[in-house]
Amino acid sequence: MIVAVKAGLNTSVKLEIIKRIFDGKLVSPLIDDLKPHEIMLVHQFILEKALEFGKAVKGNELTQQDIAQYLNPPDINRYENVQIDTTNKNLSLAIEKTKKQIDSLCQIIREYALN
Amino acid sequence: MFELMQNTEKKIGEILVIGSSNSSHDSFLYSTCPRVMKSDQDIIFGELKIEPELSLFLYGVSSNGAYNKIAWDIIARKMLGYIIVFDWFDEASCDIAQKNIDFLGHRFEAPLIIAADIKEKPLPIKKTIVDPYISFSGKEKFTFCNSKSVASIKSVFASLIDVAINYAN
Repeated sequence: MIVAVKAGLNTSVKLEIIKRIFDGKLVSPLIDDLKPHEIMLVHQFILEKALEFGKAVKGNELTQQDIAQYLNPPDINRYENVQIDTTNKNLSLAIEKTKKQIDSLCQIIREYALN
Repeated sequence: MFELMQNTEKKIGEILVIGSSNSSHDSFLYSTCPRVMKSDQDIIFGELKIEPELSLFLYGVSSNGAYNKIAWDIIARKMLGYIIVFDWFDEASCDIAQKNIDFLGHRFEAPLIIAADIKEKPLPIKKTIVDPYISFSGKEKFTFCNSKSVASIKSVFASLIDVAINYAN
């Protein structure tokens, strides 16, 4: 599957994400085989939709806190304090955190879209 | 001679409607065009006259993933935009729509509306979220439609023209 093109995330992947969200399925399994920069494109798209849908439902009452409260910050105590991460441990932790954020954001989108 | 000049000055815009099944894209043309013709290659065609000098040519294609059989560049030379229709409740139909998006997205720069056909079933999400569409990019939008409703189909065409105008500006 082609996930990303030069301009960003492929439209067919965006459709797959929207379908999964509205069907109540997890989006994170979709990104298991993606490269880190592609995962970030998925994260960016979902964050944009969370903000757009939040704006559509709550209007000007939407605050940064409405979205941020669902996004846990990285647990920096688990990260290796090294300049060169030879084991990619920090990368794995970053991907793990991003996947959790993606599922949290999808949950927000579902709440805005369905409730 | 005068008639020939009139013909050459006639402005034409083309809209391509690609369905994953025969019924969904057919209804887009039959509900908007006074007369619809069918070619032997399963391409249906309808003309919608806006003014004597301005017409929209609508082409309906059921691709089902058989891309190589269709001369896409010939039937869509003056394309304003295209609509990909699929059955929201049918996974296979959605898969074909995704293949169509990938295939055509690499060939056409034109605006695209992805229309998820829910027929007469209730909208799966709040109307405010998808009114008139969910934006995928500046020229690519997603919406739901009811292929049994003329008003719903016209609303998809209106969305496409809206996106085309905004994209051109």
